[in-house]
Amino acid sequence: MTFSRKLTLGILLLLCLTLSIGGAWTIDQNLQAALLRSQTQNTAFHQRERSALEQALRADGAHSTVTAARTIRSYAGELQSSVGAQSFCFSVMDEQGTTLYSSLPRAVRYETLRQAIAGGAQSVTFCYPGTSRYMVLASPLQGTMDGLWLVSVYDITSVYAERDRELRQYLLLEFTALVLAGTAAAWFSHRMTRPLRALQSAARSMADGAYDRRVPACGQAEFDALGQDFNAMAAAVESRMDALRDESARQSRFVAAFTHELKTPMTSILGYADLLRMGEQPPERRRQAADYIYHESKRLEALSRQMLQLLGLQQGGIALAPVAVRLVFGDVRRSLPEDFPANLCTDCDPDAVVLADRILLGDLVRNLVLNAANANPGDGAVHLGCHRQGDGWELTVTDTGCGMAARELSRITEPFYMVDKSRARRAGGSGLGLSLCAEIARAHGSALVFESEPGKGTTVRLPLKEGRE
Amino acid sequence: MYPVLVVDDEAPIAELISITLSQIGLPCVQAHSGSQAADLIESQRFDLILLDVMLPDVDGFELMDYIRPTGTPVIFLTARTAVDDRVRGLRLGAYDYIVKPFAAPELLARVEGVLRHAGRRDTRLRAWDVVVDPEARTAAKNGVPVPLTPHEFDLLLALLHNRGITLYRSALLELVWGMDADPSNRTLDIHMSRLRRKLGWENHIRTVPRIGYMLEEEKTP
Repeated sequence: MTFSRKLTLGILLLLCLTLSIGGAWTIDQNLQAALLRSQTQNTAFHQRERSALEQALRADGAHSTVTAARTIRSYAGELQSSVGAQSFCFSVMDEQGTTLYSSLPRAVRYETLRQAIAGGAQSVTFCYPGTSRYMVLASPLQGTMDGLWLVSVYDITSVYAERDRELRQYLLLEFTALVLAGTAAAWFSHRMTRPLRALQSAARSMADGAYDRRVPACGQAEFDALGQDFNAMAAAVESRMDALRDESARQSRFVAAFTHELKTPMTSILGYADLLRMGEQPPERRRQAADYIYHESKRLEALSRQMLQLLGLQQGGIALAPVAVRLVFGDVRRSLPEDFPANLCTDCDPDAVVLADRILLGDLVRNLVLNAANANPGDGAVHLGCHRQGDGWELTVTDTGCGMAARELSRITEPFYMVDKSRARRAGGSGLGLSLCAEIARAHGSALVFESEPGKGTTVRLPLKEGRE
Repeated sequence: MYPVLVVDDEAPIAELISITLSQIGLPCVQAHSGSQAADLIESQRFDLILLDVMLPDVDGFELMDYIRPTGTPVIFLTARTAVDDRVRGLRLGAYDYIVKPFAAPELLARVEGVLRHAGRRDTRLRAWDVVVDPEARTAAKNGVPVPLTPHEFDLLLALLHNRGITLYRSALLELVWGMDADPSNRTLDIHMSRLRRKLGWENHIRTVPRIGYMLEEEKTP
């Protein structure tokens, strides 16, 4: 059962109980008051009749049961002729229970009369034969003869009829009130739970994969807070999903690129080896095939070495020690190939000492310098610098070469991403160089910052920590 | 008769394909980038294009737009093994695809198959008065069919695919009998002499002592 239905039913039940108890009580009070009124009235009648009867008996001087009975009969006859049979019904009995006279309706039983006599003059007895209601009053007749009782029976059915009418009226009223209140409660609870339904539908569509679904504000404080929390959760889930999707896309790009980088040299090696092993090839072709096999194997070897280095860096930390930057720059200069196509201009603060791994930092700078040289700098130079930056130092590698577009900058540290594949290939690149640089920077607790403009050149910055105590 | 265009940014691979195809008499033109290939396609006609998917500038799939109007059959070369890539290539109208790394016989078989289906070339191999149909696996001398056993036919095909080159015994044994079989050198000699006799090539198939066999090249008059 939904919450709104429960709420509606709860309100209705409470209302129904209140109205029913209140109504029953009121109607009962009315009935009691009406009974009291009719009792007062009937007691007065009864007194009057008794006096009249006593007077008649006294006047006749009836001293025996028989005479008394005659007197009473004649009195009743007079009474009947004067006011009508229905208005006044009574019975006279002696103490033994012998009925001297009775004009009572047949429905009123003898036991009831005896009970009324036993109750005495002050008591009121009720009897309910069938659908009729009677009030029975009894009092002793005094004067001529002892032991005679007047028992009067008054029809009070109308009092109860009145109560029944009230009850019906009240039930109709209550029913109307409940219908109205029920409608109002249903509308109200539906309105109140609307934010919950919005939340539910949002949660369902999120479960179906619509992670961008949000809940609108509804204006009710608690639900608004809940909605905001839900939206915050949805946003967190969505961004997590996006991150996972990006990660997975990066992974599959990596696998595709790695497969390509692995299979390309293998195709050449296998193909030329097969050629050589098939038969006696002409000397020139034999030389060429061996050459290809050698170079492609070198390429595979470099690829595996760099992959291992990358994995090693990603898995384990490195030991950092104070290193003078000018020494690192010296290492880099010595390690450059003999056919290095550019001039290396260094501009290093002689006091610069950073917290680093000398060999790894050297590899990083060397990779950046080789990349810069491959960008065909206009002035034929690669500028290497180290300057104070806040508490630490900043290494910069600048060239005035071809530069890169912003779209490419975001992906250049991705493994196997090559801005210009054919040129990178000719320069012996495997596409892992910048990934390695980024990993080395990360191991130093830093990150590479690339600034580039197509046609103008590129600057790479690497902030490093101060090495001196 | 037009040449075959080999498009691959890896020069060694393009060269390898050219060497392999030239052995069955197919002249090749190499292109090392997508744009170079596009220029060649516009200026020249080809019987077949072997196209690498991953090219530095215009990728192989995009090049299909240039190629389709010319009606030239295309075989994709790809290092990717993902089904999506292969399906995409075939959907774009490629006849076939070859996954790198590939073996020379596979390359030759696929190229021959596509050329014949496209009706571009007569893929039968000829040597002197013998015509060999690699697809139907039949040989005929002066129009008269020569009955050959499967091993003999494979030997003949290996010789025809490597004319003028002395084939090593071990390589021939592996090519014809497979890696797992263990035939003796004697078996090879017997098959070779039967082949010689059936084709009347006693003088054309040369025995190179302790090395192997070679099918001589025809002297062009």
